[in-house]
Amino acid sequence: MPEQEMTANMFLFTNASAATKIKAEARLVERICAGDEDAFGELYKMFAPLVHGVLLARVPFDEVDDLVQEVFISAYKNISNLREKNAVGAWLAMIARNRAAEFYRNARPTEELSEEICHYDRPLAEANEILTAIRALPESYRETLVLRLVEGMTGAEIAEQTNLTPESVRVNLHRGMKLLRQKLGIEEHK
Amino acid sequence: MNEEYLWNKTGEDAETEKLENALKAFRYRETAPPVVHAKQAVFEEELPRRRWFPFVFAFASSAALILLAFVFLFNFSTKQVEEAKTSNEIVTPKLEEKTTAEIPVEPTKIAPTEKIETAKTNVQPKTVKVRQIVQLTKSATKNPARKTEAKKPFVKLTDEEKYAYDQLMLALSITGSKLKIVQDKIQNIDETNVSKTER
Repeated sequence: MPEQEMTANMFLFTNASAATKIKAEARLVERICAGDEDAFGELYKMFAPLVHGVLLARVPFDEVDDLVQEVFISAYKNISNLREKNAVGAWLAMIARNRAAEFYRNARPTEELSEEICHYDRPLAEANEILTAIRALPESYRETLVLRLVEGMTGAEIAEQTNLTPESVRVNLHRGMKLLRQKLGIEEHK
Repeated sequence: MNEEYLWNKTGEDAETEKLENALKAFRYRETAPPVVHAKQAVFEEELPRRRWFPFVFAFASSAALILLAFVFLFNFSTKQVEEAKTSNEIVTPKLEEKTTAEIPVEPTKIAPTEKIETAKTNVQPKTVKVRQIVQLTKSATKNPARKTEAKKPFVKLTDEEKYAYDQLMLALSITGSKLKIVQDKIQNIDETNVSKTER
C-alpha cells in the first residue's frame, strides 16, 4: 500500500510540475514571438539537451553541436507557425529528426579511416562502441536511451519534453536496455 | 537491472551506472544559444496581412464575378438582337398581323388607355422590333454589304414603342453608370491596399 501511495504521489507531482512547465513553455514562445531574444536563450537552455540527444542518436558526434545550432535557428524562424505552444519539445525534436535526415541526404560520400589510423583513447573507444550499439537499436528505443544514458535525463523528464506518455517511455527504456545488453554481451544478473 | 534506477535514478544499478559514465563523453556541454535578431516587426506585419487577405480576396472575386455577369448579359442581349435580325422577315409580319388583328375588333369602343394595355401584353415582340431598328442603323453604317437592308423604309414608331425604346435606353445608361461606379470602387480598393502594404 505505501508503495502504491508513493507512486500515486509521484505521478501527481510530475503532472503538477508538467502543467507549470507547459505554461512556462507557452509563455516563452509568446515572448519570442514578441521579439524577446532573452526568451529564446531560455528556451535554448531548456531544450538544448533534448535536441542534442535526438541528434546524437542519428548523426556523428562531431556534427551534433553545429546541427543543434541549426535546429534552433530554424525553430526561431518558424516559431510563429507553431500551433501547439505547449508541445515545444516535441516540435523541436521533430525539427532535429528532419535535420538529421537532411544531413545524410546532403552528405558527400566519404571513406572511413581504418582502426589503425584512428587512435581513440580507451574510454572513448568504449563509449563509441556503446553509442554504435545504441544507434543500431530501433528508433524509439535509441532516442529514449540516448536521452537517459547520455544526457542524464530521468524517465519523467523525457516524457515531459518529448510529449510521450510516462508509460511508453518506461517501456522504451526497459526494452531498449534489454536489447542493448544483448548487443554488448552483458549477462543479466538476477 | 534496477528498473527504478533506470526510471528516476533512485537506488543502485552498477551496470547502468557504468554505461552512463562511459557515455558521459558525449553529453551535451552548455553552449551559448545561436545569435538571432529580433523579428518583432516581421511577426507584427505578417499577422494582419494574413487576416485581411481572405476578405480582400473575397471582395475582389465577388466584384470580378459581378463584372463578368454584366459582360455576359450584355453579350447575350446583343446576340439575341443578331439572331432576331436574321429572322427579321419571319418575325415582323406575324407581329403586324397580330396587332392589326387585335386592334380593329372594335376600334371605336377601345379607349387609348386600353390600347396601351393590349400593347403591354405583347411587350416581348415589340422590344425585339425596337432593337432591330437600332441594330439596323448601326450595321448599315459599319457594313457596306448590308446597305440594302438600310434602304428599307424606316419604320415609324408608335408612342408606346417610343416609350419602350426610351425606357430601354435609360435602363442601359443606368447599368452603364453602375458598372462605372463598381469599377471605380474596385480601383480605389486596390490603390488603398497597395498604399497600406507600402506603409
